[in-house]
Order: sequence, then C-alpha cells, then structure tokens
Amino acid sequence: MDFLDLFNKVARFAKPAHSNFTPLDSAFTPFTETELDSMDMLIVAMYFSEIYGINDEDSKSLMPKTVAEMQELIDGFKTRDPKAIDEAMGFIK
Amino acid sequence: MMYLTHYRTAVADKAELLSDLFFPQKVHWFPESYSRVSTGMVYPPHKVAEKVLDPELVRSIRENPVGKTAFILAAGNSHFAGINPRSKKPTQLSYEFKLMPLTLTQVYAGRIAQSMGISDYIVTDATACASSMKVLMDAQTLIRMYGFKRVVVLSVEDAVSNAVLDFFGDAGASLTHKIELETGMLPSAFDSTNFGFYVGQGAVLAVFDDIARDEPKARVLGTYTASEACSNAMGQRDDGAGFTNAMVGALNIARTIRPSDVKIVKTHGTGTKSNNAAEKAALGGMFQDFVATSYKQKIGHTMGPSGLLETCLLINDIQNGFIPAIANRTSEDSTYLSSNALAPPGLIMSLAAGMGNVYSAAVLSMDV
Repeated sequence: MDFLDLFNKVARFAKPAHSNFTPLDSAFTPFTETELDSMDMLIVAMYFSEIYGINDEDSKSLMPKTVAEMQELIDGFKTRDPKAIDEAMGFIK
Repeated sequence: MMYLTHYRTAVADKAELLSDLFFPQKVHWFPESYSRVSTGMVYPPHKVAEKVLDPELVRSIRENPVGKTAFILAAGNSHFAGINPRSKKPTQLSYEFKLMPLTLTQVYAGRIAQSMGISDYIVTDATACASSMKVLMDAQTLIRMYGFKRVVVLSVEDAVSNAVLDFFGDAGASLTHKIELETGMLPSAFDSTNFGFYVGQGAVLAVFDDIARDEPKARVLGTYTASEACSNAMGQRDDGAGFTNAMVGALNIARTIRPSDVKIVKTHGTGTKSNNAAEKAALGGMFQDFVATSYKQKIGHTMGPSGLLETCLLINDIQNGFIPAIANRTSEDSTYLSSNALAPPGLIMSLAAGMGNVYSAAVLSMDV
C-alpha cells in the first residue's frame, strides 16, 4: 500500500465534502504548502490514529510537517498494520 | 432591499420510530448521519449540513465574490450537544465526542466560511427554534446599515439527538409513541386538540444579496424579531403578543406594506396547545383574508433551521402554484389549510418562535 495514496484518501475524507482538495504528489511537500490547514491536519492525524490503532494521547503528539514524517511517526506508535487502502479506510467509515 | 438569491434544503420525509429512547417517539431523520460519529471527527449536524452544502454553489460563492460578505450559522444552540447528560443507558443515538472543538458551533462556522472564502464577518446564532428566522433580521441589518453585499446563512441543529428527544418527550411537546398509541392522533396543528410534533433533522443554505443577482427567488421586504411581556421565561402567551410584536415590526420595516397585502402565512405551527392558541390569536388579530400552512407535520420540527427551511419550501411550492395543506387536520378548514390550495396573489408572512421568549417574522414577495 502506498502511504501517500492513503494519505490523500484520508485527507479528502477529512476536508468538508464541499471544499477543494488537491491530492499531494510528493510525500515531502510541507503541509503548509497544501490546502490542509491546522484543523484539517488535526482531523487527519486522528483518523490515522484510528486506522493504525494508536491511542488518543499518542495521536495528539503526532505533529508531522510532511507525509513522510507522518509515516515515520506512525510506524513508532502503530498497534496494527492494514495492508490495503480499502482495509485502512474501513476503520474510519 | 434584500433578495433571496439561492437556497438549498434537506428534509427527511418519512418518520421512523426510535423505540429505545427514554420517551420512544417517531423522528424524521437521516440514519446515515449517525455513521462515522464513533470516529469523533464528524457529528450528525455536520453530516446533515453536508446535504445542503452544494459544491457547485459553494464554489460559485468562493470564486465569484460580490464584495463584503457575511456568514451566519443559525445553529439554534451554542453547542452541538448530542450527549444527554442525564442518560442512564445508551441508546442507538449514543456516541462519544473526541474532537470537542468541532462540536462548538462557532468553530464549525469558521470552518465552513473558510471553505466559501468568506472572511469579512463570521458568526453563530443560538436563538433556539427561531434561530434561522431571527438571523434574517441580522442579515437585513448587515446589508442596510453596514454595507454588506451578501449574507450566507447555513442553518442546522442537532435535533435528533438523545438530549433533544429526551427534553421534548419529557415536556410533552413532541408526540411520543405512548401518546400516539393512546390517542390515535398524528402530528397536526390548529385543531381543537393536537399533541405536538415529531422532531426532524433538516438543514438549509440560503444566500441573501443586496441587489437582484442570478434570478432571485424572493424579496425580503422586512423582518423583525421580538419578545413579549410574559410571566415565565419560556414565553408564549395565549394572546400571541410575541407573534404580534414580531409581525408588526416586520411590517413597519417593510414600510409601505399593509396587513391586508399579506395573503399567505407560513406558521410556526408546532401543534402544541400553547402554540395553537398563541399563533391563531395573533394571526386572527392581524389579518382577515389569508391562507396559512405549516410544514412541521411533513418534515418534523427541525428546530433552529425550521423557520428559514420551511420558508424556502413554501417559496418552492408557490413556484409550483400551490400552498400545501397542514397534514392530518381533523376538520375542514380553508384558512388553516386542511387541503392544498392555489397560491393567492399577495405577500407572504413567515413566522417562527423559540423557547425563551423569542418570535421572528419576515414579509416576503415572490414578485422579483
């Protein structure tokens, strides 16, 4: 599973349905250069905590600046590891 | 002048019994609005609001700015509080909050306004069930006094929730399943005996402009919100003074309009004993020749959104040439309609009321 693809799916899900979201094409693009604001990123982080079974307290400490950093942080806290995007999205739908 | 340029509505037509509540009762709802709430990132009112946040209309607002624009979230309450603090057992509507900021209506308002590119003025209103009508007075003031070109109103409330259904069931305002079985009565209004309403989820998004843009649907000639001298904090005197004060205020703002110009009334029409008495007394004292309808019997009482949402439904029905009957009336009535009627030429008076002594009225014209 490509983590950037999963990130784009989760981010689209986190933004209000009627609002714009352009998928990121690099895992190294700083979030500050995307259409994701701090509230969006808080929601994205909490969705990822659901997907990877990270407890709420740990998820609040996740403050990555890029998708690559997010993946690295999640690897340190995760208690489960979905293998496919559909499986991962199933935890938040 | 203020024009209603665009609107989107969401209502749940069918009522379904929720049997595991403290006061089992039927509700008009979107069951899918309770999916994903356990993730704690989205709550039922957010999902109901999504039904009216038309991406095309939102994009048009964002990409075609007309000048100073306000966004008002008429939420009926200051907090989307789906949790019942006195709950002793979970029901099918129970869930836990995880991301508290998104349950605060002003934070949610900021988030939606941001998606529309609105940053001049973003506020929330919490005047109970009058909320969406009361904010028309705010919109009118912003346009007339503060040079705003556009006011966008989104209205949604956490109506079908443990807290609301428990409260209204206990108060005898919503029609509980027990009373329904005992009496055989369905929700209606303005009969000799009614037993209140079903609660309903619903939302409305409306765009008001200072000039006619994009083929407006109606003109808002005057709108006003008032209260009444009352012996209790809730309001609702039997003589309908609060409704009268609001209507007189709206007619005064509309200036050249006489009461006899009003031919169509959208009532608050909850079907509670006190509202039946108050609203009928006020309308009888104000108008002679009119037809009145109510939408709550078809869509449920959507609380904060009800006033503006039902006004938009009426505008749509009038465009189709008719005024709908008040459902389930027990007697023939050509004023408080027991059957659909042709829409007479004339102005519309739209009413709403809220617990805590607040009444709102708006005079509208379909002649644009």
